[in-house]
Amino acid sequence: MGKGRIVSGGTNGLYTVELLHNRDRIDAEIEFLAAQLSELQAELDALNTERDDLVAQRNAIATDIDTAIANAEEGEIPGVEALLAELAQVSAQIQSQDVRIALVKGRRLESRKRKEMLESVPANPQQQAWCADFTEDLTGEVATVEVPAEGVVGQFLTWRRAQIRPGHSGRATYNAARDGQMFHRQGQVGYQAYFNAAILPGVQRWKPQYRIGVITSISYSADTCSLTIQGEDSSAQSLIIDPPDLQYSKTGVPIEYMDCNSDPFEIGDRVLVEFQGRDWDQPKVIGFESNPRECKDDWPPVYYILRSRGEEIYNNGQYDLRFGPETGTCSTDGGGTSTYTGWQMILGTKPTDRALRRYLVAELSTFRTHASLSVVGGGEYEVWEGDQLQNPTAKVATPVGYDINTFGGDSFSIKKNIYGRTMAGDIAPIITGGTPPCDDLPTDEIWTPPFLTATETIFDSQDEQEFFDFFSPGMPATIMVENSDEPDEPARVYALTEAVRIAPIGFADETYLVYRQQEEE
Amino acid sequence: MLNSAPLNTGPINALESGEAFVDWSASIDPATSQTYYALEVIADSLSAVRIPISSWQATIQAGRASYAQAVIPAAVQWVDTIEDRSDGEFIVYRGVRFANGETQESTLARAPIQQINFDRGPINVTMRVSGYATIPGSAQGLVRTLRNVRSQSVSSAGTRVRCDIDWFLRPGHTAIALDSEISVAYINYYVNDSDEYMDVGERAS
Repeated sequence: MGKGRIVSGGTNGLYTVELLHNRDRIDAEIEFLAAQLSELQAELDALNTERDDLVAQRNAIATDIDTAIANAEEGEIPGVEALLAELAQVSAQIQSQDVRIALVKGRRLESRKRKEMLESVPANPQQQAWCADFTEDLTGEVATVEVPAEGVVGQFLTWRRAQIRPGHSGRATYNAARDGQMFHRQGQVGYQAYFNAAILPGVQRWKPQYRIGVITSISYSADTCSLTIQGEDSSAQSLIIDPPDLQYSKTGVPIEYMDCNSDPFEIGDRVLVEFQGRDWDQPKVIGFESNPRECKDDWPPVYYILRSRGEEIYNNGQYDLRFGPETGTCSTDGGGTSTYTGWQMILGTKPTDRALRRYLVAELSTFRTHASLSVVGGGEYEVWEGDQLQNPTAKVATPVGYDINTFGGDSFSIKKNIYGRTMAGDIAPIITGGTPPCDDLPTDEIWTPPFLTATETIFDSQDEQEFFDFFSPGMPATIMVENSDEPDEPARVYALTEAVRIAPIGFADETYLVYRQQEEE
Repeated sequence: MLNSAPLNTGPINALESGEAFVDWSASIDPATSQTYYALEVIADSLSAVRIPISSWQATIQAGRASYAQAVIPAAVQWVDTIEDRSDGEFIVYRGVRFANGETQESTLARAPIQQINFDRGPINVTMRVSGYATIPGSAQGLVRTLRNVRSQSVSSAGTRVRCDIDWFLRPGHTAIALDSEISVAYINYYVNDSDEYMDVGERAS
């Protein structure tokens, strides 16, 4: 509810802004007072001239009286009575003139002090202010937000909070009807100052426009949130200006932010809340209090394509990101081509569910640097990344931190519930890409295990109790590679090599997959 | 004590912490003494001048602008005096004149002459002088019992008490009103020819 001018800045939404007070009336009044002072001075000069004339008249009359007295014969002063009457009249005129002069002086003094006061109104302050959204290229005049509807306390330029309205799609364009403009109290006339001061807490209490809130929950699919409203006191007698019935919380609050709405928000964020129609019941989140987040569409930041041959590949994260199988073509030494089948791990079509999307993006990010993979069958794998689904452009060297578990030969597994969640509706099927040399591909017999989606429990151990003693739901659990080139062959007892717990969202129960790798014989 | 620094007090803009305090007001006998208010206009290079006033009011508070205003009746004769000192300050004293002619004064308000309003009626010309000032913090620890409490209101903004004007109470001090203890955040003085009182208030933290 104010007006500002961008001075500089913009990086990450932080600007230096000049807060533009309404000085039009102040400047106009100063101009008026200057003219008035000139007029009063002219009036005063004229009055003083008139007074000088009256004094001269009085002196002349007095001289005439003196002359008449000097020339008078005994017992009679001719014409003196008329002179005395004239002297009294002129003296009275001088007194009246003195009053008139004093009155003009008083008006001049009044105007001069008023002019001095107006001229002492502080210049527009400059300060740093966050734009409520991640807009970095604002220039010129912008709409500002002052919370809670006041800019200064008393006559001191102590700004409580000033922001720039969200800049996306021109939303920071100044709108006088919506934004108003700050008018320094020192520049107001008495009734203005009184009226504005009198209604200030009422406006703050009953006609809220902006407040700061804290998000307590978010529905990314509905672009709404629950939030608590930051309590504010008015500078007027420290009156509480938040409605008691609101209890400082609201649910189902819409989020309108750039072109991504709820995407960049997190629980606990301090956000700028606008009340539509200045109605407590119509809050809307329109930005951040500070450090606005970018509307970065991370989907997908880069495509990771995991190729393997003869194995099934599992991502050991919360979601199984593998898809396939892929049938690809490889080039042979003789110049011909052959086919291979493998699996790809890829994020394809943008899931509509924001929570899933956010999770998967994070998962991919982890995968890029700290992939935890399990390759069934002891086969090899490659990780490629590409700039689009059909175009794996570069093979990624296995970075430090990759946690690869390959299993050569038999192993056994225990599965409590079952790992796996199909995302056919969210994620596109795999693609093919490139024609790698066949020699670079694993040569093992291609084996495609079933996608694990059913609940089953498999355990075959020579020392079951020992195994369960070791593996309990509370422990860091599982790695999930089930491996057997001979699925019908009973598993044998092997030493446990690693356990990672999986606790996926949306699963009815925790999922544990425990694998033991075959010991060297 | 006219035109000199009053004992035990200083201007509201110049209270010094740790000053010695003697409550001489306790010795005032209303039956044999007379309380008065005086406006003094001062400027650096000119002599201080005392001017009769018909009313004055002020708000003194810590951390925010304090304000004082006085009304000068029959102001025509004082125009030149005030104009000459219009870049100076004005001070409102509260004084007591004892039966033996001695006087004792306390400065209640002091502010620069920032605004002058010249009001003219059919037969009257009055002048209002007013100004804002920032007052320093007062010495902590002084506790004053408010006298002749007229009203006490309690709201979310804190307690506010209307009572007789106290000679020494300042923002930052503690006031006892009825059964309440107030941490004084502001004082409003209202004085005219028929009444005088002050409102003492606290601010909710």
